[in-house]
Amino acid sequence: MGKSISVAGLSAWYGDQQTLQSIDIELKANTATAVIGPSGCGKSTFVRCLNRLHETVPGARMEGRIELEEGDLCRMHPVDVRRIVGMVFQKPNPFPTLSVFDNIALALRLSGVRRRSELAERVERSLRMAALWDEVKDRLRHPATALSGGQQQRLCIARALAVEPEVLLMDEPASALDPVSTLRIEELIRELKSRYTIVIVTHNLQQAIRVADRTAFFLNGELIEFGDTSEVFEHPRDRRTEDYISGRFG
Amino acid sequence: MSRGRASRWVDIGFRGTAAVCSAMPLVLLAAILAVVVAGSLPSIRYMGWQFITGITWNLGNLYGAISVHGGVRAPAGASYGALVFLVGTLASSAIALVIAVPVSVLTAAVLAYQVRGPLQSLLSLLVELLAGIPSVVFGLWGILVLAPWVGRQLGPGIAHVLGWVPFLGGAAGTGLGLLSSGLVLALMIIPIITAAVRDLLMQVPRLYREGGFGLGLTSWEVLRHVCLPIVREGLIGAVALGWGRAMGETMAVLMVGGSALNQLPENLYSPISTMAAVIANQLDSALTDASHMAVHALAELAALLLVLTVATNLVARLLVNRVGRSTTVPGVRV
Ligand SMILES: Nc1ncnc2c1ncn2[C@@H]1O[C@H](COP(=O)(O)OP(=O)(O)OP(=O)(O)O)[C@@H](O)[C@H]1O
Ligand SMILES: [Mg+2]
Repeated sequence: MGKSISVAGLSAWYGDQQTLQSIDIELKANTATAVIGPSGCGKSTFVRCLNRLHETVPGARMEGRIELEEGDLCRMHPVDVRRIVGMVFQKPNPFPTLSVFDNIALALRLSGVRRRSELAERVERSLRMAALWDEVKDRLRHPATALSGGQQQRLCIARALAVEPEVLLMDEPASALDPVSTLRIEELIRELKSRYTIVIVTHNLQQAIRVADRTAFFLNGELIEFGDTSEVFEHPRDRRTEDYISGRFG
Repeated sequence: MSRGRASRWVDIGFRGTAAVCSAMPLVLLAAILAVVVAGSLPSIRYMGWQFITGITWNLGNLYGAISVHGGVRAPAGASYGALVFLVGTLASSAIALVIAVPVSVLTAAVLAYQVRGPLQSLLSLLVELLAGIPSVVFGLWGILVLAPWVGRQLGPGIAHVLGWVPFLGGAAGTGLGLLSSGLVLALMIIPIITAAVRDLLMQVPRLYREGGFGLGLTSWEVLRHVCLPIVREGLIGAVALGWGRAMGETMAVLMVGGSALNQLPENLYSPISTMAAVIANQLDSALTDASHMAVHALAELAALLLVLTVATNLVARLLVNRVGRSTTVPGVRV
């Protein structure tokens, strides 16, 4: 089951340039939260803090508290954090040297799943959850790079789900995909949110409306507005939110 | 009009020069191969296959009568069996690789991923400086520092702990021998392999590494299961590069090898000689051979070494091509 995350005073830097200004936000369990805002406002930085990927960038650092039931993510070992908080990236990035099967099985093997039957079962379950099983079940041994872009992205989702995270971060997961693949991914997100806490960054406001229960609007590294998606889009409280969603800037 | 004609001549000249220059590597390789093969023909006729199966290397009585043997002239009692040197070359370069490859890959990963800024530049500079140390300096250091340490501490230590493993037991002697040669060669090729692998690893797109991190893999797991497979082709090339260098290295192994003659290595500490070292070491006396057979034998040794290094590189290339065809890896080559 998903878990809620409460973020308090989260700031982030690249070198001396501050990109997040003391963000406070509550991400509720088993909901999908959309993160919107103009390019460069810190959306990616925000989600990358949530799984401690931010700090792998040379010169980057972060401050603040990110509380999960397990405790403060900032105090846990990053490897443990990333098992709980999975991530899907903007560009599909399956491991190019591995087969479809091994792309999913790698992390499972490394976390100690040895039995073949169990591996096969968990790979199948993840592929089914990512709505990819029927398309690749005869091609499990093929290189992952032989799949289409949309299939590769669903493979990446399956790969993230296989390690059984509680939170799933998605940074513009459909921006590199065609409209049909995009709709499939959105469908998938609506299904998955009953079981995972999902944070999805998107530039597509319609997409936010279609998939997200709640929406957060970022501007220049600050959280400007956060609330139920319908509220944010229909009755924004802040002028800047209104300007952004009505297309007046961004 | 006249200017047009002049520039046409310049162009023809340029193209001619370019053609000559681009043919140069091939011409040079063919010329060198031709010289060493032609030089070794008498020795090939004299020794036949025994050149690579025999272990007795004896220039014969250089001041006595010259005997005629199967139509070729050689000093009485001369025998050129190069197996000892062949084994010495292969064994010392293999030990060097076993040590150098893991060390180089880990150092390269640190340089490419773990350090940055001035520290990265500094460490990279150090690695490149190490590559520039003349091999005679390595040899001297090997004689003065490394060999005594191998003879007194490392050798007995290994023999004590792993003595039950064939080839690892036995007396370490003076320390001049196979193990010291392998260690010195390892030090000499580590900078070469490290620099090549570092450049390969830096070309791995960050996206793939983040994919690994995002799944909760450790830095080591990402290196082992994501980055290294992506650069596999180039890695094989880098190892072949280091291997070729180790087999051809002359001065340092001449100094620390212990100059074995007519005796195959019995264990890790035995004295050895490599093909390159023997050529350098024996050329002087070979030149006093009135029948010239000794020089021909050294030429055959050189031909064998050349074939071996070229073959290593070709096999590596073939491996690389086969790997490259079977998957659609965005591979990166040296
Ligand atoms: N690796 C980096 N090094 C230095 N600065 C960076 C780096 N990545 C991002 N930044 C800067 O941090 C700020 C926020 O970037 P971020 O990628 O979080 O924006 P974003 O909202 O995701 O934008 P987009 O919608 O274009 O993806 C930008 O000003 C950007 O220039
Ligand atoms: Mg972004």
